Amino acid sequence: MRAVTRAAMAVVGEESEMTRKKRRLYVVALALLGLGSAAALTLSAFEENIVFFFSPSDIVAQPPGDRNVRLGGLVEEGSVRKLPDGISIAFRVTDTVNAIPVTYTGIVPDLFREGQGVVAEGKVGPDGVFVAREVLARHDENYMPPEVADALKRAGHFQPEVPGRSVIAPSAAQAAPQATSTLERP
Amino acid sequence: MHRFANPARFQRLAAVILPWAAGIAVLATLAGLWTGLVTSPPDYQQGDTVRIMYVHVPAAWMSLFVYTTMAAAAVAALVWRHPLAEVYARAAAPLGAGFTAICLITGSLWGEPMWGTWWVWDARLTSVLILFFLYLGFMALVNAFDDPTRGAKAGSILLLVGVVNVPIIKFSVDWWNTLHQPASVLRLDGPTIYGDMLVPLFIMFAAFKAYFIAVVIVRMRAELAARKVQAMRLTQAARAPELSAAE
Amino acid sequence: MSEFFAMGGYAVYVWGSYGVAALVLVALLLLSLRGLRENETILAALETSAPARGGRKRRAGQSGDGAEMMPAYLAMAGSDAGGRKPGSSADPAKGDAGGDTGGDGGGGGGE
Repeated sequence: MRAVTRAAMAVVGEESEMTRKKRRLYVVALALLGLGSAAALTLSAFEENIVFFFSPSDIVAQPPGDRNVRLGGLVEEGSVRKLPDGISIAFRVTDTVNAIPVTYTGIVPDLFREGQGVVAEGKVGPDGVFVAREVLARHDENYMPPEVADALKRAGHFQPEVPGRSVIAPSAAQAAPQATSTLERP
Repeated sequence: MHRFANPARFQRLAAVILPWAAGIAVLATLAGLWTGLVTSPPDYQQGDTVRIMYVHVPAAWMSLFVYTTMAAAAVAALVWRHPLAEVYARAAAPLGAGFTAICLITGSLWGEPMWGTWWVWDARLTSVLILFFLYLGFMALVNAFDDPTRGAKAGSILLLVGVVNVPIIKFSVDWWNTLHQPASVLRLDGPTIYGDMLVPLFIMFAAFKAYFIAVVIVRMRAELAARKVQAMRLTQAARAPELSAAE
Repeated sequence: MSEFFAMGGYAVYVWGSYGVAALVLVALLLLSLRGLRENETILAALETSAPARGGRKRRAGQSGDGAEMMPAYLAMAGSDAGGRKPGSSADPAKGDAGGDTGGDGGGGGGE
């Protein structure tokens, strides 16, 4: 049945079959283009809602007030200490430009370490201290055996990666030098 | 364009490829398990949980690869009316959904001990969950129509609409701050994974790819047989209703 | 050896991940093989019970041999035409029959 249609098409002229296919191709290509641009526009318009966390520079540039926000960055070297109550900890989250003091009561994930990425959810108190309700660890994209990490640290080639980027104050973190602190042994 | 549209040609090609794909899948799985679980080192930060990467990342790559090939098949089906394209998309969809499910579940099992959470709604995790729903939606849609050609067309359109999600998944970790870490392998300045850990990763990827090729061939054969059955029943019903009723 | 199974204290997560992956992949493989077997059984039964079409008697589903090439292709073209028939057909009885068998075939091939 299809062959019959084909034969009829061939009699009418190969041109029409070709143009039909071409037209369908154009329609598909145009639809994809439109869809892609619509998606791109929507996503860029909602950037601040899509980001999972803000950097310390963002929080400094635009204080969230009483809103619940997520703060992400590196746990500053040497900043983690136990508070007198025995179950709370205090540390600083840095993007190497700005650092924000954080307190948290609860159990931290296994990967929570100084010099490692962290995302804390909570509110900035009136004293400027970020009171976290939840602390999540964030690891970077580097994977290596412990021996290799040790060798890199000895050679001084070890630099922790600042997670994410500033959304509200993009110029600040990009101009910043890399963190120079060395990593503690896990 | 229609060189591979001929199901007989496909059947001959598939008969050659199938044993090879199945063999490679078995051997690469064994090699991947051995290197991934035994000979590769633990990570300096994540310890032995890094071994989850050897199923999580290949599953994630496959989930994107399968969807992309299905979207390409959708173009071939819509524009050139390629008869095998619809067969391929239908056959591949459950496998793509399976890979996406593996990616999501293993990611959850990795996130709990390392991040401290099973799930967060960050851009990467959310966009992969949408991919999973796209697979399920496609499977539901192509079966929702009484007329299979209409179902196939609706399915193809859904595949094309959903293809915008593919670059979003890939670049979500670069475009937005996410809890998920940035890309480790497919990046401009080369992989940031130590060589001993790349070995099981690539072997497992080969295993998943070979598995997919083998199983999608099986599923395409089943689909072609089902269509043949359907065509034969239709012609029988059309030609001699009283005869088939007597049987 | 027990150290190997302990996975540095992360046994549940590591072995759980490999277990889930194995479960999903093996289940999909078995379902796919069963689907192929079922469809080929139905096809073989139909072809032996109704060999009349065009006088081509011996074409029970061995894939890949040259003799099967043309019939398979023609059957495919037939399935395309057949698939469109229920939609365009004016005869309600015919349309119903087509819809029913189509549903059966789809069910067998789907999962």
